[in-house]
Amino acid sequence: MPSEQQITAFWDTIKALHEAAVLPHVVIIGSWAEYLMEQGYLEGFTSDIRTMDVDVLIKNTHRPSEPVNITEVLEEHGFIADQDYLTGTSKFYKDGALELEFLVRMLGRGQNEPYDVPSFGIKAEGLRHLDLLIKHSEPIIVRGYTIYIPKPGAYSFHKMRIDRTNSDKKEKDIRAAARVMEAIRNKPSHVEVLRQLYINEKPATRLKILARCAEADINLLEIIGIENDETAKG
Amino acid sequence: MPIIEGVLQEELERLERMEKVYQEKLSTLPKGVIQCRKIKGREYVYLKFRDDLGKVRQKYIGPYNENLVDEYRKKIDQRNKHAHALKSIKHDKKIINKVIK
Repeated sequence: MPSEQQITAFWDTIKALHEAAVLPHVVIIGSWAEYLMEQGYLEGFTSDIRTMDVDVLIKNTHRPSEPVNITEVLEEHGFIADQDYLTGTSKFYKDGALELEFLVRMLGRGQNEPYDVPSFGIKAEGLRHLDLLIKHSEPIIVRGYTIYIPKPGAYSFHKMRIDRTNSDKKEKDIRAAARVMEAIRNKPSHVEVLRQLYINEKPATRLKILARCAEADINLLEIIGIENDETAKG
Repeated sequence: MPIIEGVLQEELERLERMEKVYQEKLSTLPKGVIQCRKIKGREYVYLKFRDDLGKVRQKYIGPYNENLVDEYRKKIDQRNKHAHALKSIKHDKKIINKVIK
């Protein structure tokens, strides 16, 4: 459960992004997307662990076309800006309760250095497989703000799809995916997103995902209404 | 390592990063209160604060100027908010340290 202080800091973050007119250009991902899903969007869903980091995924590093100095805007809203000395990415802290970080999708061969985001005037970390969260995101209205979050089917699929080296994070991802999958089980439109993402993967990836789901006692094929996937192979 | 322990460890590292950033920020902001004093018919601005030994000190800022006073008051207010946040970071660190030890 997040503290009242964290929730206030989170909504201050949303307000700042709204005032900077960048809210339509980002997707809230990570555990705070689960908090937003809880706010009347995904009936019957409650998340369990919520961390202090708010991950904001930038849809397109060249949008908005009119650049915004996000550091200045956030500092005006009481954030402290910092640059991670190890990764070089921009980080923002609010009331000692939240750490805000911007992410971008890593495409092609990728790069070790942080990505320049000229439209925001910051440096962001690039990660693989984030394109699926952008492609399958949708706007929800909470507290009068239109906020983009990943569709639950895509959110849970992404958690099962990514390769983690940190076993704790992997375990946490699987747990979060299992809770979301359970919540969407009887919601056909959400299940359809999950099904489409699954069937469009390569056989080896499907096999890997099925193995991960089995480890967590999730019967993915039953949820997405596929009796048997014999094409999934390594 | 159980999930919750891993999460707490990660949160602790985040709090440590935050603590450093807040301490650095606090060192760049003025502490104390702004006082305006009239000397020989002219007004001057001073910053009144306690030093590390607890002694009350006064630092001359300059001749009275509304913008200057506003700027200082804003920075002092910001410092107080950040100091409050730093207190909360230290408190959270203490709790996590107790849990994971």
